[in-house]
Amino acid sequence: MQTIQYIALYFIFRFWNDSTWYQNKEKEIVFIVVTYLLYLLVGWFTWLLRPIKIEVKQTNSLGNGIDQTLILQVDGTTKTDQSLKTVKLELKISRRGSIWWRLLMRIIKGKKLCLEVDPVPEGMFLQAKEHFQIQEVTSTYSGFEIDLTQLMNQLYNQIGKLSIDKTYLYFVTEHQDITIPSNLSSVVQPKLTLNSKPIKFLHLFIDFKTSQHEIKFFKK
Amino acid sequence: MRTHVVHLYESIGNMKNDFSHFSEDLFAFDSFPVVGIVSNDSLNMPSRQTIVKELKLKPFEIIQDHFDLFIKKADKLGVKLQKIEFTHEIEFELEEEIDDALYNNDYEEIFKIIKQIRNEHVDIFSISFFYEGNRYRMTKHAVAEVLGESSNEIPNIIIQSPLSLIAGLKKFPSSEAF
Repeated sequence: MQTIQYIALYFIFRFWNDSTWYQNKEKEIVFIVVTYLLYLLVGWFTWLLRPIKIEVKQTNSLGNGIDQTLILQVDGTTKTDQSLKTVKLELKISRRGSIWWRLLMRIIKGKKLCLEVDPVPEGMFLQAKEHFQIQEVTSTYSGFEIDLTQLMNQLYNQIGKLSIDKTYLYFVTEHQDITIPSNLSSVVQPKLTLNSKPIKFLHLFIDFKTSQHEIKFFKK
Repeated sequence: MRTHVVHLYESIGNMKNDFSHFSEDLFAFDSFPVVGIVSNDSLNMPSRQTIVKELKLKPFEIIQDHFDLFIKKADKLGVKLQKIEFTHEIEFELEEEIDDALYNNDYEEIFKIIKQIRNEHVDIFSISFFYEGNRYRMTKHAVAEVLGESSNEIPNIIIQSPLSLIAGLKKFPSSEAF
C-alpha cells in the first residue's frame, strides 16, 4: 500500500507544473519496488511451499456442519444423553514436497508437537472417548491433547503428496463432583503447541486451520 | 470381606510418587493414569473432595457404549447381570421386560431393549452384576463397588474383573476371540 502511495505521489508531483520534488526520485522508486517484490516473493514461497497442512473440523455428532453443542440440565438431572453431546473432531493432515521439511524437522526434533483441545473459558471438562486405549491421546486437566510428533516423523519419510484423516470423539464430562456454573458457554478451538508452548513462527511451515465449536450449558 | 466404594479418577501428569503417603484410601493403578479413592467415614482421613482438589484429579464419565457392549457380551464374559439403572425413569412395560430378561439371563434381549431406550435419549446410570461369585457395581460416574478384604487389593480386583472393561482400561475382547 505504501509502495503504491509513494509511486502515486511521484507521478502527482511530476505532472504538477511548479514542483521539482520528483527530480532524482527514480532511484528511490526502484529501491522501493524491488524490496516490495522481494517481500511478496518470500511470502509466496512460505505460503506455497509449506510442507504440512493441518485442518481441524469439529461437528456435533448429530450431523454435518453443526458447530454447536447444547447441554440441558433440569432440576439437577441432565436431559442431554451422551450421544447427543458427543463432538466429532476430524483431523486432516496433508503433506507436500517442500524444501522446508528438513528445517521443520530440525526445529521440532526432540520436542513434542501436540494439538491441544481445551475449552475457553475453563469450567467444563472435556473427555476424549476411549482415551485410555488411544496411544497419542493424553488427558489434560480441562481437556486433552493429541500427540502428532510420531506422525510428523512418518510423514517426513514419505515422498510427494499425501493426505491422512483421523477422527476423534469427545464430550463434556458430567459428574457428581463437577459443578458447572449456570449457563456457561465455552468455545473449543484446538491449537498447536510445541513442548506445550504456542507454535508462533512455526506457522511459517505449518499451514494450520481450525474450526471453533461452541458448547453451551443450560440449567433450568 | 466387605464392600468398598471406590471413586475412580484420572491423574494428570506424572505424580505417582506424590500421593502414596497422602492417604491410605488412595491407590494408583500401575499401568494406567488412574487412581481410586475408597470412601470412608473416618474423620482423621482427608475427605475425597480434599484429595481430588489437592492432587488435581480429573473425574471421568463411563462411555455408554461400554455398558452396552458389556451387556451384549455378558454371557461370554461369564457375568450374571443383576440390576440396570437408568438416568431417567423408563416406561413401566420396558422395565418389566428388562426384569423378565434379567431373570431368564437373556442378555441379547436386554441389549435390544437398551437400544430402544437409547432412542429416547436415556443413558444407563449403573450396572450391578455377579462375577465369579462376587457382586460388583459400576455407575456412569466411574464409582465402583467391589468386595474385598483390604483396600490394597482393590486395584487388582478392578483390573482382573470386568469392571476394567466398563471403565475403558481394558479393551473388550473382539468377537473373533471367542
